[in-house]
Amino acid sequence: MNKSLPRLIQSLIVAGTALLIAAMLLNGRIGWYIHQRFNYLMIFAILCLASMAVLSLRNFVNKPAEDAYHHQAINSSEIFVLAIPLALALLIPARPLSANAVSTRGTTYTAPGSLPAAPSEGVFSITPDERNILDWLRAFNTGKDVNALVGERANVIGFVYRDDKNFPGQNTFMVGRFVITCCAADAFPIGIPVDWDDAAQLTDDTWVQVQGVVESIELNNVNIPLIRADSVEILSTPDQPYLFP
Amino acid sequence: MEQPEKSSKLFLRPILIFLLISLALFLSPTVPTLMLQFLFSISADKISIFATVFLGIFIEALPFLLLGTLASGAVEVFVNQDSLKRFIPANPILAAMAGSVMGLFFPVCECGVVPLVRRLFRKGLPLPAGITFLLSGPVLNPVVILSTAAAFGFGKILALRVGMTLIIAVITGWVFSVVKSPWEILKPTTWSPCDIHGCPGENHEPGNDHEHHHEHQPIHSTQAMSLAAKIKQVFLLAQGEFFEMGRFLVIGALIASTMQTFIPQDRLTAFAQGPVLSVLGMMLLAVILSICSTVDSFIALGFVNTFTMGSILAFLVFGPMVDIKSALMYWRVFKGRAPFYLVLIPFLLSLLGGVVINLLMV
Repeated sequence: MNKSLPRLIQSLIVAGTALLIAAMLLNGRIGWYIHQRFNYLMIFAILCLASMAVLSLRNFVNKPAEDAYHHQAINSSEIFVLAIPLALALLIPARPLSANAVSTRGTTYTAPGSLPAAPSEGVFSITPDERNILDWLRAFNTGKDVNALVGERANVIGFVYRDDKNFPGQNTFMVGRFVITCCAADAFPIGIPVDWDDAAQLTDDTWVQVQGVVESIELNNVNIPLIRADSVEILSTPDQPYLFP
Repeated sequence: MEQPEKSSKLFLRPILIFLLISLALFLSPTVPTLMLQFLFSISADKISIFATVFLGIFIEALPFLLLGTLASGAVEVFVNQDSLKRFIPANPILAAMAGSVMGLFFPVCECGVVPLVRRLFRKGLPLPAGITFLLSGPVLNPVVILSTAAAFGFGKILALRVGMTLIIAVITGWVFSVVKSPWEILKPTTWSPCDIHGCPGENHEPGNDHEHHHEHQPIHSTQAMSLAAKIKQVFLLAQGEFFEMGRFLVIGALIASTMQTFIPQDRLTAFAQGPVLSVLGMMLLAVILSICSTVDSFIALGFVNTFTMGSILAFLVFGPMVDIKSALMYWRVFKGRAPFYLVLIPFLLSLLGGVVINLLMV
């Protein structure tokens, strides 16, 4: 291979990665991969990659013959390893984790205790209408009498999936979300069973807004919420598909 | 006489290997099941999960990797290594302790620390300080502490990671103080920076010719540069290191996301709960994944819900000290039993630390 060609390819991969992250930030897709608190770090990464690309391209144009990386042990074929993220992002249709990933990750019906300290009491100060799925599970997990919550109206957004083991009924589906602390790699699913007469019509992975009355049922000796739905509306995939503890 | 023997050996070996593999498959019925499941479970859904998890790890780790490579490039361009040895005390334990904080000034991960330590030994760095820096530098530096805090928060995991790394690295550095000079355990010629630079006629023997040696280092040519040129050089060096180390991140993320996509987590939990087995499992995983220490916290986070706390810590402490790529570098840089001890001592101490944490913190 021409000695200067790997340098050009390196610059292009770096520029492409900068563009990819910038595009994800602009169209909101970045939220499908990482926690939103890292968006500032992403701006740093874009600036850093862009500077590298500009400087190395200028260096390449000015001194095409010089082997600028002679002090780095780089094998030209190994450069392409860094093109893998670009290729995967461009070739595979982007989708957030949803129903299809639940089966490999197991479902938690009660908010796990291992989560970073969250003010469990705080969920009671959120009006029932604004509680998300995680808030409802936390509210049922505080150890307080859950009867205070029974009868409140829930209004939650999530994707549809089935739990045939615990809720095989024709009229029950699960409304779920993935919770992430950092990025998609640490995501775990949570869900609430929903009773709805037309449950069978909903296909897995559809995003829905569920409204209805909260009941308390027992599963493996633990009280969990169940929503008796009076309205289920189909939504498009939200920009922010995950919940944060 | 030798020829037939050789050919019969050649003939026997594949049969032996085949028998061993089939025996292993028979003994562990889960292996073929897992393989079949893997083949049949590849669907469009699985591929999109795989891509999402992979990009999650990669994008998350990207700024930290860039931070590390920029800092390392800045060290190369701006820091005069000769000034360093004035700060290292002669007492072996104090030298080892001094070595443990060197990472705060040389923020490199395990990919960069081996060549850097070798360069510092050439400049007269005492052996205990160098060994301690070699083992602790990849964790005890601002970038890694920041990324660990980003993943786990400022809490128990971060404190225990720093503490365990410090103790293990200082003990190992102190053990190595029985060797009088770095040259007794350093291989003289193999894997010198000049093998890559191709600088001719360099004398690798210690003691004679140090000054002459400097002139061939490309780093020293930067001293005459203007500030703008130096900054430009930092970015170019960082880009080179980004490609050099980034491929370990990509490969590690590929393995981790493949495992996460195709192996249901309840299967992993079988290994994940024993106080000793879980620690061994995560240490093995750290070696196999060979992830850069700037990003391993984010990978470890994926195992927090299934594995014990001691095993997560053993992963975070042992991984930066020993993995496939750093072990290979140890064997190329050090001679005799030195690389063996560099792997064994951290292995035993990390295992001990992880098991103790599991037993005390349940």
